[in-house]
Amino acid sequence: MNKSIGKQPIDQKTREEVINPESSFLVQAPAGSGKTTTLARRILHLLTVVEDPKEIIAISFTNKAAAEMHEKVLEQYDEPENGEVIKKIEARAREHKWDDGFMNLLEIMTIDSLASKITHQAPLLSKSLFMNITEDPHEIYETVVNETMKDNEQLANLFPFLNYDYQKIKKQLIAELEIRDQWKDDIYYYKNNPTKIEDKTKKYYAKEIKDWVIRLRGFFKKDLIEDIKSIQSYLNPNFSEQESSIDFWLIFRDLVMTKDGKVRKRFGPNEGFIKNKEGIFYKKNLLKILNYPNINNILKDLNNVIYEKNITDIIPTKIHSIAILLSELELNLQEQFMLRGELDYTQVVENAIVTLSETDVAILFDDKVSHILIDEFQDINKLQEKFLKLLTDNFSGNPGKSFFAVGDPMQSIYRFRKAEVEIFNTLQKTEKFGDIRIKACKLEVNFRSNRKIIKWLNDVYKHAFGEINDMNKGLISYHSSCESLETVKKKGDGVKFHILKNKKKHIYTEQQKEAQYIFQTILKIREAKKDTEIVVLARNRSHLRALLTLMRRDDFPIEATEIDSIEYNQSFQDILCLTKALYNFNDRVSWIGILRAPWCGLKLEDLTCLFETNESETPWSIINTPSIVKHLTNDGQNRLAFLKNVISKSIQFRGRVAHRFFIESIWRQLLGQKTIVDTDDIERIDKFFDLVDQSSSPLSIDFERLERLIEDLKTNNKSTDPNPVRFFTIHKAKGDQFECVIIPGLGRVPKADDHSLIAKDNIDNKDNGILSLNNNRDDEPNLYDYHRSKELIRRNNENIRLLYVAITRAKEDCHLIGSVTENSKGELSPPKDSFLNILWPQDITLEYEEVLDNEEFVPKLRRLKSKDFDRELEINTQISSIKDIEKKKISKDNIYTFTGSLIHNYYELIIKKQLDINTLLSKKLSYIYDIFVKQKFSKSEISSAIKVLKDSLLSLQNSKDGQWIYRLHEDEGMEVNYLHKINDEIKSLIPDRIFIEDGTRWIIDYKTVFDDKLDLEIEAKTHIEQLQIYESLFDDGYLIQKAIYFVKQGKLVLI
Amino acid sequence: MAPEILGSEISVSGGFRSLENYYICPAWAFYENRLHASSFHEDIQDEISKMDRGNLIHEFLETFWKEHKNSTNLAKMSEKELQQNIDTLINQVMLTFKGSKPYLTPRQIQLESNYFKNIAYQWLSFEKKNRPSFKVIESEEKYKINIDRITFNVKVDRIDEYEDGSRLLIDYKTGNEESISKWTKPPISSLQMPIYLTFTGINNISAAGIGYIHSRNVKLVGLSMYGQDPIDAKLKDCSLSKKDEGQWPNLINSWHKDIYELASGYLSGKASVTFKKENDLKYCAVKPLLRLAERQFQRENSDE
Repeated sequence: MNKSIGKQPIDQKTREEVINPESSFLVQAPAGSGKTTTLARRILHLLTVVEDPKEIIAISFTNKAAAEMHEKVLEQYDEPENGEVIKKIEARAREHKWDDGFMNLLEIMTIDSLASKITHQAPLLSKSLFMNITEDPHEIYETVVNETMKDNEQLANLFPFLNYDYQKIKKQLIAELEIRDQWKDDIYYYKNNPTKIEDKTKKYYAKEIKDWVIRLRGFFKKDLIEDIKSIQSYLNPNFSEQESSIDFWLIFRDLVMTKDGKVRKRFGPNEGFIKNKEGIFYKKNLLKILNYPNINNILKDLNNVIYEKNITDIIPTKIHSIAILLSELELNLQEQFMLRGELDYTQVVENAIVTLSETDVAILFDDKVSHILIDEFQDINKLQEKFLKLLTDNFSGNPGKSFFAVGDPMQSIYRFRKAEVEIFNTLQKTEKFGDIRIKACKLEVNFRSNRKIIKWLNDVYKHAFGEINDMNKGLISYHSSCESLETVKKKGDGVKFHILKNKKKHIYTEQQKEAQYIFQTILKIREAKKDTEIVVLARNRSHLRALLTLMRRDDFPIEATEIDSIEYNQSFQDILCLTKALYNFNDRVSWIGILRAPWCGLKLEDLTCLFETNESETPWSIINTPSIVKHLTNDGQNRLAFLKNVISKSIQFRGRVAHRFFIESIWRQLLGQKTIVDTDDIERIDKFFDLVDQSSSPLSIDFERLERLIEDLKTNNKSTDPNPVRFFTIHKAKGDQFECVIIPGLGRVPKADDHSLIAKDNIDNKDNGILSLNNNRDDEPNLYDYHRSKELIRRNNENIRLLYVAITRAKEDCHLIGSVTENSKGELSPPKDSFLNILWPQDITLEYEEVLDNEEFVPKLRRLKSKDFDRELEINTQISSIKDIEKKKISKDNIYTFTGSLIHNYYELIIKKQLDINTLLSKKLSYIYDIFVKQKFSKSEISSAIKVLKDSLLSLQNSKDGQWIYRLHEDEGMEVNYLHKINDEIKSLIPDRIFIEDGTRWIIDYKTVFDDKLDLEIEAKTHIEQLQIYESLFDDGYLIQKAIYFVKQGKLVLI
Repeated sequence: MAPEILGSEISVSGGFRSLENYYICPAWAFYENRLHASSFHEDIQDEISKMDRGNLIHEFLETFWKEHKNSTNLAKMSEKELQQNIDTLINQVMLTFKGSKPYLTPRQIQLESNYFKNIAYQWLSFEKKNRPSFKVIESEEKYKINIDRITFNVKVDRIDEYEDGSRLLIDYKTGNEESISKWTKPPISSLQMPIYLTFTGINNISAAGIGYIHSRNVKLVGLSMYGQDPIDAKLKDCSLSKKDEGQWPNLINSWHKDIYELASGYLSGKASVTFKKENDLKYCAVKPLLRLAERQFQRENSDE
């Protein structure tokens, strides 16, 4: 507070203005300008004027961002600089008797949760009563598409046009359902106005052509146009086209470009230039025109202009048919959602819109909510915008209400999720959100990066952005930032390029060499300053593979967040294989897989002996045929016996207990834990069971779904080193900052995406969409290809912003590293979609000529040692019968013990993973119900058992004893099996819970008692003997307290 | 290393694919072809798969040429007659197919018939316009292949005889196109054509080609061996090859040697998890058995 004016950032006035609770704002805040801090400070000021903190709602687009926003608010609440505001808030809290923890209860949430909350206000109308949001709607889309495709009138018309490719069309339709909010409105227009389609499309085309002509005339200017005319007249004396017509330009393009879109270098008689004085003169003139700077780019763009004759898909019948088909799909999808009681994120927002426009919920909401704040506003999409507009419908003209949005169009990188940055720009221009007047402001000071980085961005990188915003091309203009007092003090060398050149295109070599170079660079940085904080930011995960391998081989401490695919984790793959084998005795691949996995580890000769000749037998029957097995090596026979033993003992529980418990039990018996190489794998195995839960019904596991969930799963690699080199994707690093940033793979391009079925462009800024249809052929370009070429330009422009986001993470240094390869003519040109293309040309750092051989690495068989393994086998067989009785086996004899065992298992799961009980119950209750039904218990029995189960789980959060049980305590030993010798017999003892609290070791058993009238004190005493046996296990100096926890009653009774 | 495969006549499941698998990664062939591990697909009852389409096209063309025999007959057909002949045959073929797939809706059958009619018409028009005179002398004929001690059967889709008495081998494909350099340029990775040309014992071959039949495009690509005149369709005249190894007799020699080596390697029991590019394993059904994650982990932790 004592800072003098001169020391304040130059945009201080704006920073103070935008926290004024009485006005609404849109704030453009460049990287490092303290965007979220500004938002947090505004929340504090709002708290000084509201009567209830719930009047304020702050919204973000991801859970991570919401959590960070909340953290930022709490941080600002502790900031001494905000002392006066905080005093006011505290006074307000006393005056209006707010809860003590009001700062923790602020309404900070994702836009989806807000939508979901709104729909619950009017559940019947929005049909969302009891509906859950599904994380994996793919299967629902697939069902809808499959059913619709079986018999749909439109197909006869569409099928030939779409090239008969059934599988591809299906895939494309599924993808369209996912983004249906993009076309829904347009589809209804097309469906209902078939006669207007052709006209509408022609109008669009005319407008596009006009834009092209203006652009071309502006580029070539008068002189060159005259030259072109004279050349054309030489070639064709009847040439009469004028530059105001697109034909003029198309004829020029055909002259200077080859069919595959390259600019011609030579002109001769074939092109009409005769070898005489006149011909040579015009040829020279033409070559002169082609030397004009940047002409290649505009000619390439011109190649995308589609001649009107080629707009084959205006054929109204086709586009009309697809509109009908899509609208039918959409209806069927709604129906599926209802049937299943599940919906996707888009549907939640749609339902919220219906709720707001057709009920009084909007008014109710309006009474309660006065201030809405949105972070990362550049990431909003049209549907979400519509939702927010309805929500704030009554805000305008009310001085007690405000709307606040903050973001940075230069950091808009979510086009693939259909974020539309133009919503930000339009709001900035019109300064009106619905009817609310908004003031658009800009922050300018970057507190993060040093002077060199800011200067480079302002002077050099600026030119990659547009000079003005051009939404048609998805181009955003650059908004300079300036340095602050802090950044002046910062060290570092700023932005540095490292471009490596290869003589021959050899992808493997290029990647290896680049990885080695980056590793060397990292070593050098660390050598110069040991504790430099280094992060490697990649555009695609796969771009990091070679580097990660290299650094891991060197045992260099690294931390990779959501980089490695689970495919590269063998423990995970092994348990997947085990699961598949256990659920399908015919699956030869998975069975050979579990025989080869470390817990069994058969050698190839034993596998050959089993499977070479018995082609038609199932694997299970092969390994159970003594005449086959006896030919195995002794070692092989032992190993096989162990596996067979474990599986045959436990297989009877398949389908009788929850899948996760069944699989985990077998995995543990197979000593799965011993086969793990990385301690983090335990977490991954746990994650695997979660996915099994998500993709199964009581009767079976949906393996297709399971594998789809696995495919999306990325693992985290943690490091114990205090300062490891960190790895992120650029998207994941958004919002973070680091001293030194390395951006590798500048020369690489992302994987090409699949072509969508329909594409769309707008005639104007209104929602007046022009649709086009992909004919799935590579023949003559049509309107779809034109739309796609425009979309690619937009995506390319987003790449500029993606690289901007990456570079602006750096505080001191930013190393940009990439490889480029000479083409056959010895020229260097970076690939079109690469980052390098944005930054081209560059100096070359290093040249490579040699080609590396792809290394032939021969892996070794890894398996448990037979010595350990024999002993384990022995112990395991001795104790297994006791284990079954005491824990693993869920008795189904009567519903009481069955319920008790289920509760035990759920307790273990809930406490170990600290699950939210309400969420669990909402997701799992129907599943549990099915388990009971399968046991053939009577209906009345089941409903009382379900009640007991519900009470028992809820007691963990509702009773005081329960809450204490729920908490994790010191030295938790929930899973420990204590082997103990009683009368020379080894027994496995498994108390339900053991932990240490205040120097006392607690030994607790859970008991399920249905009858509430029973005296629990007396009941507890009946278990004394069992607890005393447990007690004898411990003699490590701790005081011992034994107790029984009665799960249903939520009561702990000490013994 | 697995034990050597003993015996004198070893029949191999998967035929030439087994050697292609072996070429990409020896362990692949070991698990899939020697231990018979392969992913099983449930037959999808309520739609028409890519395999169904392939089989139906083969069946149609076999029947068509059994009936119409040669290019002269084809040339004599008017557009309309050709269309009619196709329609009749396709309807016949689809009728049998319908019986095997009771869950298909009439609309699906109708759409699929239209597809076949369209594509059959495209292909036969192509043959009519772009090919010199020929007669079809064999369709879907079985041949026994012996390479080293390995043996398996192949079905050659079609053999045509030119006017000079020399022969053309055709394999129909309805899937994705691949470059012919995969079998014309060493090291070869596509073995089907080379095996047909070197191990079936068919005499007097002067050309071999793959007939691509899908709705994106129809064409016949491959090699013409002795510079025939005129060159059939789009076959590449290998007598024009400037490099020695591109010449027909040298090609046959190098194919023979390379394929024989693969077979011997397979028989020797080599089953190592080694490969050039992981991408080549994209369609490997026994990929889980290759334990690639563990391999990667061991590489990262090996001392070098």
